[in-house]
Amino acid sequence: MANALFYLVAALSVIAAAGVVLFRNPISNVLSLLFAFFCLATIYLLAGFQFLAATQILVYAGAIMVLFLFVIMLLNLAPGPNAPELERVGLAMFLRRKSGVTIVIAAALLILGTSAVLGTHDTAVQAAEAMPKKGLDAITATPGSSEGLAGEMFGRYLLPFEAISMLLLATAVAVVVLAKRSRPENS
Amino acid sequence: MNDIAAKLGMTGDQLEGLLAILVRNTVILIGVINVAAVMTLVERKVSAWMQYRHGPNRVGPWGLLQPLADGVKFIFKEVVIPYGANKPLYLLAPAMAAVPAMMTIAVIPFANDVVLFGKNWGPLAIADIDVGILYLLAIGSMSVYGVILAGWASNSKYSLLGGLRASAQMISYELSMILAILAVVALAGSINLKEIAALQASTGNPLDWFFFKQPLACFLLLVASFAETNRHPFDFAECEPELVAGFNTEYSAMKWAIFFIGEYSAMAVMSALSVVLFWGGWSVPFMPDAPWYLGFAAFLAKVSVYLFLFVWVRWTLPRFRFDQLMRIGWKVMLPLALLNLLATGAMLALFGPPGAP
Amino acid sequence: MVESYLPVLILFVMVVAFAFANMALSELGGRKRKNVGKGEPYECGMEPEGNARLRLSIHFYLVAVLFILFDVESVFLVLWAVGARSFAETGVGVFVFAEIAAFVGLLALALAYVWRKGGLEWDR
Repeated sequence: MANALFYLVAALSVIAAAGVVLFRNPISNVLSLLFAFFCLATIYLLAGFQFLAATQILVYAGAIMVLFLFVIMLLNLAPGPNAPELERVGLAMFLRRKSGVTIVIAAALLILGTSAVLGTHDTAVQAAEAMPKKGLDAITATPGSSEGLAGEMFGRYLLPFEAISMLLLATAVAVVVLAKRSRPENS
Repeated sequence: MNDIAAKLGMTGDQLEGLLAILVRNTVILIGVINVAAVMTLVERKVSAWMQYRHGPNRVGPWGLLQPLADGVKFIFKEVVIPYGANKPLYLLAPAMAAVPAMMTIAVIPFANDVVLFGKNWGPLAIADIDVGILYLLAIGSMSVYGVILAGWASNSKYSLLGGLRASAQMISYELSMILAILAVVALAGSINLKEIAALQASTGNPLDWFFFKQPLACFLLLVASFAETNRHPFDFAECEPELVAGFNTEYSAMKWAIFFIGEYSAMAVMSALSVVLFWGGWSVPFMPDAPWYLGFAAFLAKVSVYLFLFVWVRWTLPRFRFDQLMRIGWKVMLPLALLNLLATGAMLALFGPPGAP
Repeated sequence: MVESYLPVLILFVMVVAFAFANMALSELGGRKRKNVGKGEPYECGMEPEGNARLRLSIHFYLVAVLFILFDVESVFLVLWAVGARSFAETGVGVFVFAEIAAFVGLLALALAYVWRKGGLEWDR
């Protein structure tokens, strides 16, 4: 049951991710991404990570996607008389101009990502072995309730945790600089 | 029973469990939809009463059948889709507004363990989820999309302005709501709503209710729930003197009604959440061993008070201005909620958890 | 654990069916008589002027980013709030609270910065 559900949701998430790049209307892209996030949250849930699933929806689907929608409306990318011309996304785009840079960057990202995964492979294997069951059957187990996570976060990962607040502070400063830059005084 | 189960490839207990889920879901869902329907009447009746007029009184005794008449009317109204509307999104928007509001009801525990036909069926809630509050907040945060999509897809300026205002307002007040709820979570040490309710109901002493430990959080949650459900005094989504009807200007017939079923369901859920967090949930004062139906009645009574408050406030407070709303949200509510949470944390850390009941 | 979400899944199916069935119902029941005026976006009887998909104010962007910041903060605070009791009981309460106070303090600093720069003023 859980296995079948996993494959179904995984397939749906791939379709949704394809929709993100294939729809022509930017708002539809955002909605596809929203749906993909929901599929991911379901997969986390099936793997037993309830807290992660809830956080995924709360932060990504609930907050970051709202920002995306706002930005799209801010730039007025929606189709209409005043909208800037959007390029048709597809294979043709990659074969045309500037495709070299894109491909190089994509390849670099792929290599980086793969090496990161390979580099941490042993750790991941150990973590997986520590889980109650192996393979896809483990998705019905409960590896992390949020209470256990709290202990890890405020104990072992204290420093990264505090660093996050610095990152958030920097973001706040940056956004004020960006949004308020061209405002003349007292107008 | 066991024969049927065997044919479906299940054991008798599994089939029974599945049937119990279906029955519970249906009963609770119909209950919520009915609360929404009745609230439309209550809203108009109470408004009339406060303004010294009669309100609906033609359909049935005291106008009691008015919601039914309205429902029938919605079905036979003409469906108008404006030119230039983005049709798929236009049709999706009402569902995206109502579905999250009705999904959040899943984690609300209405009563203690239900004992019926000599069997304990567990607490009267659709689902008993460990991360209940997070589920509620996460799914609840989805209702922003219905509003913003309705505004954008309608191709109308009033709709767009209403939708954008409503979304900015909802995300601003969501923060204060989360932080206010966290103060209770810190005291209770759980994000399972059933456990939080049980903690307050265990002794039957009303002073165990978290309102008496977190009055400020209760008030902040109340204000935030007015804003989250787009109700007065923060109803900028449909502020009629400025925006006609806001994000639902271009909606008609049942699509329009779906928005309102969503809004009233959200009101019911926010009321129920406040009752569970601050007023002991199903706890009956001085009766720790009250049977489940008494507890359920107590729960409904408490929720009714909250729902009445929603209507009462509408005719008592004037509507704020939009810049005032944002100022209150970011400069008053958010710092207060943060301070309240930090103070709660400091008390916990310095003096230890409050005495075990 | 996953089983406890089965009722939620069923509820989801029921709610979606409810919403779309109702909308389809009025699609069937309602009369349809189109005319030019009816389909125009409502602007109090005036001729609609220009495109309705206006560009929105930069303030919405600011509010959305601030919302993300504090949303992320509140997720971390959830972790702390759930454990706050047990931290206090096991004697690390003050230590963890100090961590949280530093975390929230920095975020409060961010809020104060935005506040001072006028990022919270909607009418400017």
